[in-house]
Amino acid sequence: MSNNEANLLVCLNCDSINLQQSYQCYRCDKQLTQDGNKRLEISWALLMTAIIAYCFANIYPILITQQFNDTISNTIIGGIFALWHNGSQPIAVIVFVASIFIPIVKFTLLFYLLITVKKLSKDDNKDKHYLFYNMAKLVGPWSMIDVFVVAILSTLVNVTNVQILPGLGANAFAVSVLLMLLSAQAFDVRLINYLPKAAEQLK
Amino acid sequence: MGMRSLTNAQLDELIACHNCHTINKKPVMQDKHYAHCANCQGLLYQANKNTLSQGLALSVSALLMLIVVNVFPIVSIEILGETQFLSLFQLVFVLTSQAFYLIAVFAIIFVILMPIVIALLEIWIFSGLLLQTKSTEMPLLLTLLRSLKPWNMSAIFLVSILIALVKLLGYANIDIHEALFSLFIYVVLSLYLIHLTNFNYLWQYAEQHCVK
Repeated sequence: MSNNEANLLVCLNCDSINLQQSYQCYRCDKQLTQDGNKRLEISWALLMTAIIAYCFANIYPILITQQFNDTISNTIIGGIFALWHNGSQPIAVIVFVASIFIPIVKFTLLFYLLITVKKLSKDDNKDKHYLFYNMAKLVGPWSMIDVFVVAILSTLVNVTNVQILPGLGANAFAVSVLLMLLSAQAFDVRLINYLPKAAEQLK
Repeated sequence: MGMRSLTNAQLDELIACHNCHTINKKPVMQDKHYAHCANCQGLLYQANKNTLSQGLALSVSALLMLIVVNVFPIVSIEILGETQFLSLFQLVFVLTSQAFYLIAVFAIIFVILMPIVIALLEIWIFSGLLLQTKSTEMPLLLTLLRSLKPWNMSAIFLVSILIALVKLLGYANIDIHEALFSLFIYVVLSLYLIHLTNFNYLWQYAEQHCVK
């Protein structure tokens, strides 16, 4: 691969390669360049809101069990401990990964990307940044597991004397996951390498 | 779509890697061969002359599976002598009656609507491209499919069902119904369809054969 910086830009809509000076994509007519700084700021705002929502999701109970006259509220961490002590260690690990580990990893990855993307220079190795971006996109929606599990449990366990109800934490968690997904979407991946490496044989 | 100049034809010969955005030149390939990125070795695309017909067949099957998933109960449990069903309708109904509207709306969008809309879009796109009908809506369909695809959460929902069932193992009798298997098959089909759907190829094919 030669690195002759032919000023090429990938269209995010149809994956075609365009000359950077063109305003519209030649294939799908979509506007090619957006204000990268504006998208960065939107991404920042969504990420911050997601972190705040995530804090609330951990403070408030995510699951409320009503058994006869007994009401037990479980937070995310409380639920994981309960699973662990009841002998379902593998499930405890899955829930831990989905609702604690993945969100925190994703916050960190996006944080790192958003901070460093402006400081990148032309010759830096950007493989790490692409890897982080792809990881954040890949694992992001899987945090939804906790929200869906609560929804499924409250649908199934809904009889006269035993009821499982979603808590306020479930709402906060759902909002947090959604905002995190939107934050990753708002980030324009082309900013990592605004002048993409050109193909070897661009005649 | 504007005039095609010589430069655009040359640009058509290039493809960007999804993983690392390196721009590669499309190699001349034979059927069933794979093209890999020169920088990260990731898969660029697969030469497959049956892509469109496979895509159509798989997306029709996916839609059929989805009908079963949406109509029939997925699992049922017996707890304290009472039987409770989990179907997608019941899920939304119970959440709404408990006033958890946000989660109900999430379930409607990500688990019910998105999979169906995506399957319908895929059927429309693949059949339109196969028949090479001249139409003006193909760019819109492709754009829609591209932007909706990441919001399909069926696979996550399937894993959530399994986790919920394991949590209930000691407390209730669990009956698994056919719709759970349909959901599983749908998830496998949708993952294969993601692997098959190369937007660069679909756009180029649409531009060459389906635009007035």
